[in-house]
Amino acid sequence: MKPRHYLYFLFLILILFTSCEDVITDDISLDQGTVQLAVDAWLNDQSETQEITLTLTQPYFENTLPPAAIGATVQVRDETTGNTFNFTDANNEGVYTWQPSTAGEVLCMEGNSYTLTITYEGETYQATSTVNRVPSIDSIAYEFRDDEFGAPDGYYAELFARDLEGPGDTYWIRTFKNSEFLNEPVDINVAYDAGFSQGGNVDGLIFITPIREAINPFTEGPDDDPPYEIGDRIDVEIYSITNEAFFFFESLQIQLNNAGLFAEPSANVPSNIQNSNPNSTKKAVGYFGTGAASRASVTVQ
Amino acid sequence: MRNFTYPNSLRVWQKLLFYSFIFLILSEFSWAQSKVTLSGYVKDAQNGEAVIGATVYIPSIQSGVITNVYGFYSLSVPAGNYEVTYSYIGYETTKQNITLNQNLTLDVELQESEQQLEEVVVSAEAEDANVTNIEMSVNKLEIETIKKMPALLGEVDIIKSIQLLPGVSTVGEGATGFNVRGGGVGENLVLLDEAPVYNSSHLFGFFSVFNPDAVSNVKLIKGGIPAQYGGRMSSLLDVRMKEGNSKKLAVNGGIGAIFSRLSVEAPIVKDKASFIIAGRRSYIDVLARPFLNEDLQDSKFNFYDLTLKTNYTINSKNRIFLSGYIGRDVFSASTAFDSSWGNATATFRWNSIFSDRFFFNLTAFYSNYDYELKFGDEGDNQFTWNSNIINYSLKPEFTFYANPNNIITFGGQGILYDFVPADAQGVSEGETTDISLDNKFAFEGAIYIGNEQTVSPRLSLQYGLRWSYFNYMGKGTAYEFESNPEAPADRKTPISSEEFAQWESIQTYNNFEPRFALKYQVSPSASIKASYNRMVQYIHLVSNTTASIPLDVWTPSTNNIQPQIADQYALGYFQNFKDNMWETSVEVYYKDYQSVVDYIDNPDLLLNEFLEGDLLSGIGRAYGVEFYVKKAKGKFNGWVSYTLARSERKVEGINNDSWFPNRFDQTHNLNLVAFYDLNDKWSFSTNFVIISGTPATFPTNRIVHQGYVIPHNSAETRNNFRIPAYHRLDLSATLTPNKVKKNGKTRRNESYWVFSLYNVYNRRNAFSVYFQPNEDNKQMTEAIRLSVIGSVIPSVSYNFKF
Repeated sequence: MKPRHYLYFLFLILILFTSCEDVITDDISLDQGTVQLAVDAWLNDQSETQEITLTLTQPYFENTLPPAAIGATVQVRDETTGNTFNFTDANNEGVYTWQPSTAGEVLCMEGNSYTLTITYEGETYQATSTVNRVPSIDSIAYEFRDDEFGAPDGYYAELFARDLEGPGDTYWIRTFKNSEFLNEPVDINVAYDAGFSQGGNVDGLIFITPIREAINPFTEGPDDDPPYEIGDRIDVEIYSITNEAFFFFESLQIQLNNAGLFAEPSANVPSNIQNSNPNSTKKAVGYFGTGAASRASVTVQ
Repeated sequence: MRNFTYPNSLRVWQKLLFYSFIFLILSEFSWAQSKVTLSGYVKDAQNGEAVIGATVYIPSIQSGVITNVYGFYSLSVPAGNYEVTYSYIGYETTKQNITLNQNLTLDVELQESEQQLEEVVVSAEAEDANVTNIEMSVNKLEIETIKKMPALLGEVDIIKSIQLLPGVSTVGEGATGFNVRGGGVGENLVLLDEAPVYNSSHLFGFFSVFNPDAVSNVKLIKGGIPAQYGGRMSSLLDVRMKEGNSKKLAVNGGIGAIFSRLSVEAPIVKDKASFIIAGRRSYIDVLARPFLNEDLQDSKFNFYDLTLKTNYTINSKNRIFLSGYIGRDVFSASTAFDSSWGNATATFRWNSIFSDRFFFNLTAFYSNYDYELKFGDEGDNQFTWNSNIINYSLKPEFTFYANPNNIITFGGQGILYDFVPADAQGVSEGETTDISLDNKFAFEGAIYIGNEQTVSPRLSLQYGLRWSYFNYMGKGTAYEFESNPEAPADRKTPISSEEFAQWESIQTYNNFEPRFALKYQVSPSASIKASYNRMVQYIHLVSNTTASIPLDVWTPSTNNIQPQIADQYALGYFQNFKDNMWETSVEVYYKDYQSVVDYIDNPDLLLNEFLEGDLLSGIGRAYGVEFYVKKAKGKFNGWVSYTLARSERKVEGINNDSWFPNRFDQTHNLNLVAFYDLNDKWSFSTNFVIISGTPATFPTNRIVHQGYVIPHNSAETRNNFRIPAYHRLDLSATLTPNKVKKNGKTRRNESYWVFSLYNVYNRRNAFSVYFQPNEDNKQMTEAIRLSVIGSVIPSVSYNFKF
């Protein structure tokens, strides 16, 4: 949690008696937007199935699953080696996959850069990304805590890993509880070196406490379920991302936690997908990222 | 070193000004022989406070002058016998027969008039001052008026009160500060006894930091700003503290739902030295404790302020004042979290009358706004963050009462800034990391000269020139950034840096700021006024949220951030009716902004070493028309103000390079304030506000990415929507118990009760509207309205004075 969030919390206590939030969806009629291709592509250096999901954007209040973008040609090219990797949508679900043909074959290699090319409905979209280095995880520790400020009693986990020496490393830390990805907006955990942002003078350190502890599912109050209980399995992955992708996640955090008195103005999250025809009016959204992953897991006993 | 804005027209202006000044000085010499000067102070007979803006007038020769902020006046006239009148609304007019054959110093004390006071609403000078005074775009509020208005939780509040005036608004309850003519909160220069106050609010924006018991005078200047003021683009809020009763001990106080307050003022040496000390403290934490669960029992959330002022009259020519203010908001939750913020200011002033026509004031001040944040227990895991903006300033000012037709003001100001964006440490498993950002240093200087000239009984002019200079200096690191020419509104990346030694200039700027105002008296009860001013702002409040937060940082102009410049043109027509019972005015204004600070989408504004890379520069324009009708007299009085306005920006790379409304653009703003004095015991007041909703960026589409539902605006527009309009009605009743008790004895103290209802009809005004997936069903996206105040708020307060 960033310092700001503590302030929101205190402010909420203060205005508890009178402030209120109401759903006013029915009173709002939004502008008509344009349907765009949305790219969700995060590839890693593990010898496993790599997925690129293509969907279409929907009007904001349309409460259905996003329509799949099918019939696209999806290819990733390693700009360093010249190898190309074709992604196919076997089930026509908009999920384009690439399988290692041999055990140990990987798509992403540290230091190399990659170009994604998507041809969809006559338009060609491209994005590039590089694979940065990633530190190994020393350990995942857990302990039982009670009487914590505003938090339920239970097991709390902590990630121990040290940022690599040299400034400018950025990471996305993903946590899975019993194989389920913690994907609440407040659970987004990204690091710039060992801290929250660039220029933080935290290069080469153990990740700062809020990052280490963000591998716990977020709890709102003492009556919530505890983050972990005996028998829970915790999987953590540190995934290296580019500085641009870090900014994408920072923006995502802002836009998904965008409530309250001090909410930052709403704005679009950035995208690195470009239409290769600069004169085309069609634009795609979403992100293409590549990185190296290091993983560890522990079961609470 | 670059040099900005020095067009030729300004050189001409400068020359003109110089020659007219020489001319005035010369005419002065030939003139001085036959004229004599009457000068002195005008004070309140009850408490010895200076009477600011009182009229000193000689009817037989139609010559007059208005007392300055220290109550001083000087009037040079041919020798002779005169009847001189001293008048001020709410006081008995004093007439003096004076034989003037040599220079004479005459201090006059005015008696408060009980009867008139009840009728006073806003104006504090001559009844027709709004028409006859050269000032335009100026609003003054008497503390007595402010005290009568309905207020949130019964707390008399200066800033909430000025928001009911034309051209002034707020973006919502809980928003810090105020917005003037479409400008941001950080574009207002808020001065408390000449020292700048960087955060004028307690508890975010619910209450202002000024203790009404310690304030004597409040003046808001929105346009036609005289040359002696500068540094902010939109307005000047000049708050003057009381000097302290120099006649007898006086105690004021009140007990309300939020604050209790007490002030004590008394002479130290009668008529020579006096002091005032005033304090307030909130007790929400005490009241809220029963509602909090155990974990939060040790929580503190309170705010307090302490105001102190003392003055000493050394002799008839010299007087000194020392004033201080300290205010703080404290929020902490058990041992896990601790935070506090507040302003501290100290001002020393020395008034000296060099000659009967030469008034000198020297102000030296210190001002510090800081905040502190701490979380985590002592020991292995902790995070602390302190931030400050400290400034020291010296400001000499001379007023030369050349003749009854020319009052020349000249002087200068130097401000030394020390910005501490972050003094921060993180302790992680016992490993301490210093994540502080470097301090930034700057010097802001200005020299100015201005003249207020009565050309003819109908025509008055006020003109001046200010030259301001800014030096962003070391010790520090200056960065050079590279922007992507294809995406000018993206984050810029630092490409090189350079170290600078202490006091070494990194970047300097200087600007000429012409000021001009004109008044033409069409008839005794009607006038036309026009003004132009250029304002340059060298320090910037970095805040992109709708409501400014206590953690917002101020940053100087640097090699990457240019000073912001605003040119304002205003034209107004003022007319009074029925012997000044009705005051009316219409003003139009147009403001042109250069180099306004804007932000990239999703900027990182806190604890960011490369903050400059997230700032953008654009242009802006604001224009509007303000209507104002006031009934100034009678048992039933009050005013209506209506503003029709627009405030826009244009920033390369934002909103497809076209104009967009800025965050505080409010098209319509209607305020109605009414007072009714039923009898000696009961008086009532009400106000009604209706304001257009502020702009916001609403999505058109949604993107599903990694399971997150992300709002998206496919047209890439900014501020394409408005949140619903804001409206609210408040009522209050004041009960003043009879002065004479039932048993015939007179009460020793004066007291009154204030009962108020805020938001009478229970409206849930939107503070903001935001979009998010439903908590239980992620598939379903919703629009949520946040209302800071969601119900009617009743309150009672008890106030006393003895």
